[in-house]
Amino acid sequence: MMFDSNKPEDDLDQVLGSVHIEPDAQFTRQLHARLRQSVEAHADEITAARTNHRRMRPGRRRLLSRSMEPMNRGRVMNRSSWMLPVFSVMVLGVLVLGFIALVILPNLPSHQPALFGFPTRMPTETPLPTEAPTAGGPLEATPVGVGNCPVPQAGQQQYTHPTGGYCFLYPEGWTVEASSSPYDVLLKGPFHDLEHTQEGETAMLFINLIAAPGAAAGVTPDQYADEVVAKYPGENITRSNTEIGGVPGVVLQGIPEIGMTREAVIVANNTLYSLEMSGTAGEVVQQDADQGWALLTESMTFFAVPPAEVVKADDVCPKADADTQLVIDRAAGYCLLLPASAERQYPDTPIYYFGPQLAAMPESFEPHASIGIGAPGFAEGKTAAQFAQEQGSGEITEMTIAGVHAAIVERQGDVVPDRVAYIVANERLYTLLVSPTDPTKFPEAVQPIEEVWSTALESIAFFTPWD
Amino acid sequence: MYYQFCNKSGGLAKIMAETNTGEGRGMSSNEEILALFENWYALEMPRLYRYVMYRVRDQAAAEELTAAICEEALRYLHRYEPQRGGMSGWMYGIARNTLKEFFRAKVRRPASVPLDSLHNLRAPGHSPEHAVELIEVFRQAVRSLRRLPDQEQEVVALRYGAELSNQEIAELMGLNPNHVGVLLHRALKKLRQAMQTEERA
Repeated sequence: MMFDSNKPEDDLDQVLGSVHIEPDAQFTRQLHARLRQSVEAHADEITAARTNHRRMRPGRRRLLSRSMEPMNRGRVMNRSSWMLPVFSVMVLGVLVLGFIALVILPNLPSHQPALFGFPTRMPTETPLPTEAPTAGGPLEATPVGVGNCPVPQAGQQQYTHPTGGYCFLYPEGWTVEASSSPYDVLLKGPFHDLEHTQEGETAMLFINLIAAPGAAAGVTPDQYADEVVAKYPGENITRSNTEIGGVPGVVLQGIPEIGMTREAVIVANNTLYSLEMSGTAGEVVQQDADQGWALLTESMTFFAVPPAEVVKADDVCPKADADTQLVIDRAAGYCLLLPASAERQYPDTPIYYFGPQLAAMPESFEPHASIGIGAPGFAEGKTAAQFAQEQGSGEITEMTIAGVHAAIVERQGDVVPDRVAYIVANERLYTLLVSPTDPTKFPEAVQPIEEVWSTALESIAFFTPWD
Repeated sequence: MYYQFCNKSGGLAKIMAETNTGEGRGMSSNEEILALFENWYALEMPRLYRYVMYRVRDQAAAEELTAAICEEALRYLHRYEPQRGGMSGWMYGIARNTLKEFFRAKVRRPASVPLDSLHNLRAPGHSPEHAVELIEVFRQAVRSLRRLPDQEQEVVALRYGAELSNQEIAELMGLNPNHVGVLLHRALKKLRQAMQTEERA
């Protein structure tokens, strides 16, 4: 039918250009209301910021143009010598305003709540522990106290994460932002007044603890790297050895994940650390990223902290038998049993298909029932019921799964109905989704889905990622 | 259409108008900037959503991200200067950064919703039969997008989701327009190959 021509990409161009994904009408209404609230809530901030911005910019421009054109400045001063003090005061005022606008205002804390991931709150001073914490187990790196953290030189700043067990230097003008994870931070490069189209672009470096402090006993960087590479068969991911903070590590480049260009993995003090550099568009921003990366990796210092409470996979995960298979995700911290016959479709997405072919399934869907397991990240204090209310649109049933609070929603969906369980365990959100759940339209799916659902709910267990 | 986010007493537009000192020739007033944003939102939000959807392929995440991008833009509206470029470029700069943060926060954490659940697909201007066929191939194409390198996914999302021109994409990505054309051509070719591979599988 389609793609019979010699240039199939032209047909694809037609398809992609013809089909539109429309935003849901309810979402559009909610967004409208949300923005309206946002405008009303932040009217003062926006107005004040814009007024400051507008007052600052012309002055900055004048100052810059004068410094670029000394002959013009000379003519102004010769024409009226009495203007010298006035001009000096003006320049001083502009400098002060510029300093306030460029240095102080961007660093003022904002009270804007984070929607997800990294909050927009600017960093506050990191409290240093009054005494160096003690190690809680065998150490792979030489344990050093927080007192061994590097001292910033001119043009550098220092950051210490007292519970993550690391400290580092970063260039002046960068900011450190907290993450939804209690151990991770995001380093953001400075804003450049570049092309307007790249206004939002800044260099970004991420420091993530793939495993909580003390939870990576016996794990090596190579093991982690092997798992990452295995997820992308056929991709040209290069790996090389490195040493960061006096500890051997592995650097991966070419991981086909969105926005990533480089990742270094290190295990120090039984903790699995990942340093990542995000891809950037422009040369100036890339230079920032390279500069930040160099300083970060050269100065990174690890110190021992009390280990987090660790739940080991071996202690909680069920054992598979002839009829079942164990599904375990060490990075996400969950395991469960599914029927042995369930097949995973994609290596990087845990969606399993099972049961007989379903005649009524739309052609573009897989003709089987499916279960998908999701681990979107930290729950940030929300309950399972709150997630269900926010994301579901059907009746909510609250219950206990694996000893923790869970909420289940039956959703009708536009095409295929489904059932989602939201579970909050170890401060993280997990989801289980089965479809299709319409007994009238898909009667042959009812029994397999209920069997898989009950097997999954009865066997699912949660542990500390990368225990 | 203007001031749709503002309350009846004038809200932000009124406050902004009161603080508009007229300083700085060529600078737009606060009121005009908000009006520009609102106008852009009214006309372009669906394209922004579509771009995000191409990138995340998860309805709930796309909705949350689209909302976050609009709110982020509102928060930094004071930075926007129309004399220096269109609002689309500015908005997509914010969108790209927001997506980067989202993906890094979400690193190696899989989507919680199967990719098959792409809802609200329309093929305006086509017969119902042809639309069904187009939508089916579209679903397969979006599902296979994950097989492409990040840069090529981005070009496809900006071209077909945001409906930006090669010139606009080039400005956003720091490339020249010819390079964008080559990237797009290569991406579509690879995408088709990926679809065929998945069909065979």
